[in-house]
Amino acid sequence: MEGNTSIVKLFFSWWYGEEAIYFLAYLKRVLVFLADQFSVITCLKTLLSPWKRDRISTEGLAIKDRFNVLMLNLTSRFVGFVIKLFTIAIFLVISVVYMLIALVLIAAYFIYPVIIIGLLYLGIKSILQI
Amino acid sequence: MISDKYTINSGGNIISSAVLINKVLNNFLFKTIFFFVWVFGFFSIGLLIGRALIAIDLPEQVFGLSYICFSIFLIYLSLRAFDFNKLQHPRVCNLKDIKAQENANLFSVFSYELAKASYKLFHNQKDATAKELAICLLGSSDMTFVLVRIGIGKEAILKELESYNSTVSAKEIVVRSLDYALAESHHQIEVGDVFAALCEEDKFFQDLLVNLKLEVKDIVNIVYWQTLLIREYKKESKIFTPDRLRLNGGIGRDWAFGFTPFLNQFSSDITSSIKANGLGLELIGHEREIGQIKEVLLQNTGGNAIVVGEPGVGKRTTILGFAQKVAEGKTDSVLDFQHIIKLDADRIISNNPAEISERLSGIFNEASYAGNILIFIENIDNLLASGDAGKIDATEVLLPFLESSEMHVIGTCDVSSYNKYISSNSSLSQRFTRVSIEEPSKEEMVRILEDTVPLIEHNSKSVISYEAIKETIRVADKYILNLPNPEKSINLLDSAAVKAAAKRGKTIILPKDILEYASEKFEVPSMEVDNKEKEMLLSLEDQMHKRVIGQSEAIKAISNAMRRARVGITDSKKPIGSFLFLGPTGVGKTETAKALAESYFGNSENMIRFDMSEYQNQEDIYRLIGSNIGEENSQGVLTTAIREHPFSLVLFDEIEKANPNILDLFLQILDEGILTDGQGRKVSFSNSIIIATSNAGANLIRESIKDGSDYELTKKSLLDFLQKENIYRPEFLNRFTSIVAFSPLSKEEISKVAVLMIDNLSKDISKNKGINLSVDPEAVKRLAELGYDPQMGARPMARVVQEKLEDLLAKKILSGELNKGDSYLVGLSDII
Repeated sequence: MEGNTSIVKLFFSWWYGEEAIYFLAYLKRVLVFLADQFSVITCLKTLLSPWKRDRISTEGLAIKDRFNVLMLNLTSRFVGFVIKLFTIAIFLVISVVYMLIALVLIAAYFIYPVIIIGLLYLGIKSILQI
Repeated sequence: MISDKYTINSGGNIISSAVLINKVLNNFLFKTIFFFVWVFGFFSIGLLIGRALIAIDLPEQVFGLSYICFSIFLIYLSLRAFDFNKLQHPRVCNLKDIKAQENANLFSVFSYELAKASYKLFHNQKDATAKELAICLLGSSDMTFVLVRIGIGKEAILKELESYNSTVSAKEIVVRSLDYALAESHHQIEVGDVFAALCEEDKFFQDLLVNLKLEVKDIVNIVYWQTLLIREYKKESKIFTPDRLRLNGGIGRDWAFGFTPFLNQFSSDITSSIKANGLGLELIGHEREIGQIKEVLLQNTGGNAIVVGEPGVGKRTTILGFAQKVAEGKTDSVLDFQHIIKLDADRIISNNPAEISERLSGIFNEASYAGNILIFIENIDNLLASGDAGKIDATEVLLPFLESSEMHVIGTCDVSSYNKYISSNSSLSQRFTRVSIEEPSKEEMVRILEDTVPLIEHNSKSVISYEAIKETIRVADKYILNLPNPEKSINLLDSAAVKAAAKRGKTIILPKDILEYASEKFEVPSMEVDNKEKEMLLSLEDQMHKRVIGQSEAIKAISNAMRRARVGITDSKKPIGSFLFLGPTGVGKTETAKALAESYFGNSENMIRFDMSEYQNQEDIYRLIGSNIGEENSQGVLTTAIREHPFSLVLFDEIEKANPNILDLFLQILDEGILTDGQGRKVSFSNSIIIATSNAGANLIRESIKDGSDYELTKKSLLDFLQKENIYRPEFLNRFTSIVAFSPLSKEEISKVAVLMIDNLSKDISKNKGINLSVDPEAVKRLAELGYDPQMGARPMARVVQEKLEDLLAKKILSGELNKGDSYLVGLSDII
């Protein structure tokens, strides 16, 4: 009986200790993974940089050509800005959805025994039609 | 005693709970119940989702049952995770802490398999013996792998164990196994660790290893091998682990870097290829070099690495290993997720050579501007070969880019090319940092092969024994001299396994398979394969006397020296034997060399002969070892001959006539068994016998024999004479296995030589012309008299046989007096 008590105790200390930390770390890792998949840090760091370094030097050009080149370079930056901003926006949407799911999962994890008891209660209630 | 510091009790700890629980649950009844839990679990989930989404209309009791099934399923999942993650494989387990603790219960750090196997033994039993522990271990499934690889059956050991009484306690074994577990970075004590400790501490297993020709370190290697495979399997089988969520830079990884359309035409992306297909092998033994490459590339300017090593030593594998780290983002630096682009040098230089410089400039410009490119140029010497015929000079194009912080280059080349093109060019040597790749040690080679074995086993559909791995390394080291490890060992094991599997189907690859394949492929003498060297050495005198008349003392000296040299030191890199034959002309020095070649290598043709009177000038040294000076690139006759025929007797005739500088070559050959050729490649003489002959001191031998001095006294005065007259330096003479003095032949011995020569002639004429030749004893006596010359030894005898017998027979055959099938007796009248 004593052995059973200690194994039950061990289960709960593991569930709310070691395994809970592992579970939270995994959820955090998923968020980092999502940020990595959308290259959020790269996008933020190079938000205003030219798209794929596509930039032409204006050195030695006539003023008219220089203006044209400047416009092209600006366009390159603008293209980069739009794509990166769009990517970051998608990430934000997905990460908000993910965090909501993660919150539900965290809640479910911590009230796991309650869920089980609840399901059992519902089951018995439905069968007996109380 | 150290073992008193610990306890081993299978009661009251987590791992024992795991054993007990799984013991109860591991039966047909519970397995069936769990099967239905899975089925009803999924069914209830489907039903409840169906109710929520499409409002399935079923009696309320059915849904009530679903709730209960679902709750049971959730309980089952959580308990299963608890059993597997906490009880069987605890994540937090520090063996170092356990080792330091007083009165620690070592059973608590047993692996699940070990605990399962030894639960009963350590359950409140204090005086368990090593024998009892061994019997428990043999019942474990983890032992199957170890036993299969060492090639012994469980039943055989158990049978032998029955009559054995162990004096060592099980506790001592377990305490020792803790050290093995720590050394192998295990986080629990594994079954293999305990078995290794048993093999070290217990007499029965010590003897078992001796019989199997294994050592404890071999068991440790097999346990490492098993752990490696288990780790791989676990990695593959786990789905929800953080390791699975590898960071790779994501969708916009390359958005901040430039396009490389021109570069793409002449290159391939190694990192992308690794990401798509993987590296295909676990890289072992090159961590240090990979770290060095990383450090070099992180330098802002001049951060270019040149990986230098002999062909096949693993330069490319090292760079692939580095590329894998880069592709997986594991360098913890700005190098993560960069692209390692391998230039296709052949394509760059194949079309329109006039545009090569322009093409290279375009490629490097683009790579530099892109900002995330590491250029990999395999055999970079092909690009840097200034002035060499058929090669282009890219040095001038490359130099400005090597200074850039935007682009880094990794090149590979062999040692001689590095010396020739990079270290001799200060501009290049300042911009490249050398990373040397050395051959892995034998210990590392075992683990490299263990890593490669699963792939070879998969290809050949066979199981490779541990002894076959060891034999592969030994054979490759001994017989494949022109390739470095690990390439040669991997190729040998792969080819031998495929060949054995083709012959026998699904099979176990044993050491003899490796040796058989090597004997066919590398012309290894059959004696080596059949392990008949010992028998041959014991009867060496008899074998040699079949060809050589007289010279008993010399042959005895050679045979003794050969036996001394070969007993117990077979791993020596020195030549098999080295001899200096001293004596007058025509006394059988060359014939003795031939006889030794025939006896030892099975064929007198395994003899490479050099007339050293042809090497009297200092520059003749390059004819022997080859040259790589300036544009001259010639192969050496000696080094090439040994590379092509390593199992040979090398005879240097009349060595006293060679230039003294050439004699210095011998110091290295005789001492280390290695000679470096003109191209900087090492040539091994470890499978050769070296014989040098000399006429120096011939008169002294004659005088000494005439005075009746014994063999040892003659030899001693001869050596004194050679050193006194400064003919050979002492360090030269001392390096030979033995110095052998040949005495002049007596008249009786010349007579025996005549008989031998006539026998040989008779055999030849019978074989070629079908004529049976015999010689009257009186005629033989006469021939011996005619051929005897105390000054010239047996040499005139050959001339006499030629003039008196061969000429006679030639005339008779031409005139039709002798035809195929005839017999002819040479009489005294024919000779005069």
